[in-house]
Amino acid sequence: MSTNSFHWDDAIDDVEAIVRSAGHYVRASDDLRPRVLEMASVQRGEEWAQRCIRRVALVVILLATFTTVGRHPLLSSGTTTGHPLFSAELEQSLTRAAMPNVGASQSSWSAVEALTNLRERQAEALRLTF
Amino acid sequence: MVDPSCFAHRVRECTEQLAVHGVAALGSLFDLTSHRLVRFAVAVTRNQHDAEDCVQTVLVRVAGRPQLLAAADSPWAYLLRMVRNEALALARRKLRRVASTGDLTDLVTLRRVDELEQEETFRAVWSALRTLPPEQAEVVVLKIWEEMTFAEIGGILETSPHTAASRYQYAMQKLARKLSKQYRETHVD
Repeated sequence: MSTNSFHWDDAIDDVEAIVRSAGHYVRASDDLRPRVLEMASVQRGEEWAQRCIRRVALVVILLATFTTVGRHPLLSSGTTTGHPLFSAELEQSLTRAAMPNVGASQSSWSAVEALTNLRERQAEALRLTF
Repeated sequence: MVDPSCFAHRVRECTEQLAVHGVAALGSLFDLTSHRLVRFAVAVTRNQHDAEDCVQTVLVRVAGRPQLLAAADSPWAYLLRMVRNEALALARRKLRRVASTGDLTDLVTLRRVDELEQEETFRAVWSALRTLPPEQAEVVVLKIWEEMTFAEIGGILETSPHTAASRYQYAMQKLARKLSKQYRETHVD
């Protein structure tokens, strides 16, 4: 080890000692503690409130869903094809559209018309229900 | 002086308390770590107000999810890393470079009666520290005041131990120059 590096090591040791002595000079301000604790409490309250709101919303949604399913004739039936609102006309149109030898544009348009009619009848039925 | 391994152990105990008791146990974690966290954050942000904002954000986040800290291998190192990340994020949000200044007017300092004679030295140290690039200043804080190894420092700063050691060496050279210059100026005057 050279003389210079020996002196440099000494200097580093001195600087380390000086820096170490100043470690506690800077500190947190007195108002930081109440600020942190208050913010943490507020955050906990907000999270608790959000959790409650989410649970209540979930219960309301579930209740609404079950009530609607239990009461509505369209949704409570197990299958739609047997329902009067699902017409034989639509069923025939869809069957025709699925057949490979039938003209594509004709069968598609008849299926569209049948679907439009069905939607109108469903809308009318829902208006009557509510 | 507080044994660093003992301090890390106490931080772990506080963290476990926090995980069990929630916000009610945050006070003890704050009392144990706040001064050290603020000191570290000041080295990165070079501003007491920003440093305290970082520490506040981190501790409130920890209080909300204490399991994050409790699951860490070293909660103290994890806490320091959180503060550092928050300080860097704050600097990005403010879209400004940290000013290289030796001005200490924003700092909250502790003046003990028996150390009044040394206050000049303390101010010189902090003034010199604040003129260092933040990546060097944070290594100095972690090495000297937190008594960490370069491997531990590298883990917190997400860099290699070699890089941490190199930064420390550069920082000490600069500090030695600045402090000796200041010492000469003071004693010649």
